[in-house]
Amino acid sequence: MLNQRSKSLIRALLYPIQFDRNPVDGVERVLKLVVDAGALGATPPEYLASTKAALASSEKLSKLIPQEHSEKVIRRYLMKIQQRLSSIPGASSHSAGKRGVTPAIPLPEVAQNS
Amino acid sequence: MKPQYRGEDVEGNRVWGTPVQYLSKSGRQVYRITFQGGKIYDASGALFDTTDASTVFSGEGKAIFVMDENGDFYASKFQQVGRFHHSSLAGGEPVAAAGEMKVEHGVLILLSNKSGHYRPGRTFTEQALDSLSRKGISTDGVTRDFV
Repeated sequence: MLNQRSKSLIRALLYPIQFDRNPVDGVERVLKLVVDAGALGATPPEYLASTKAALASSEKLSKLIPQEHSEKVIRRYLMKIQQRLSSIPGASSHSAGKRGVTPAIPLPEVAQNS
Repeated sequence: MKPQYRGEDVEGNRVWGTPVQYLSKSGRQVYRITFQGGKIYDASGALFDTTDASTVFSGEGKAIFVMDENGDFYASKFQQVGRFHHSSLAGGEPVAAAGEMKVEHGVLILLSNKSGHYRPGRTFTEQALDSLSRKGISTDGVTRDFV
């Protein structure tokens, strides 16, 4: 069972992509507008810990907010969020819950035109 | 508004934990947009422009809006999950339309029905477009971004 705080943080991660045709395409937007913005007063480690807990739970994550994506699509999206959050230095789950320092989310690697 | 979001304005609520700001009727007046000569104006009387706005659904360039039962429009260039939503503009009350708008120098470019709290059908957006048309806003070239 997910605790109430984790459910709220997962709702925050799901809310912006509910209208995206492919939620994975919205990962960077969500990292910027939810995680980096400290929505719900949470740090990246807290979002990472909640994402891990959610993916390891049998909770119907697609039902946490009113939306139409399937459970499979939602879990694939959260998996991508987890991967990106795991790439942030200092965002490991053991430090979840510590507030005050919000590590900046590094941009994904992009091909360089030179 | 979807029933799942009821009570979200209360501290410690079961939706977000943190309270969503609900504006009173007087508090929402600073978000009111008005219409004159085919252009859209903000509450300060300046031409409304969403270039520096952002929504969680679309990112930069759009504002969230609601239309109330009187046909009055309220728009915010700011939206944050768990803090400020369409429900904030409406104080949690029912709306006649809700979504996003893109406006450049007072000219309406796009209207969508993207509102997670209200999830309105296309009919509501058409309702908003009809209302805007009656207020002198040209809607012929306006992009309809329906979900």
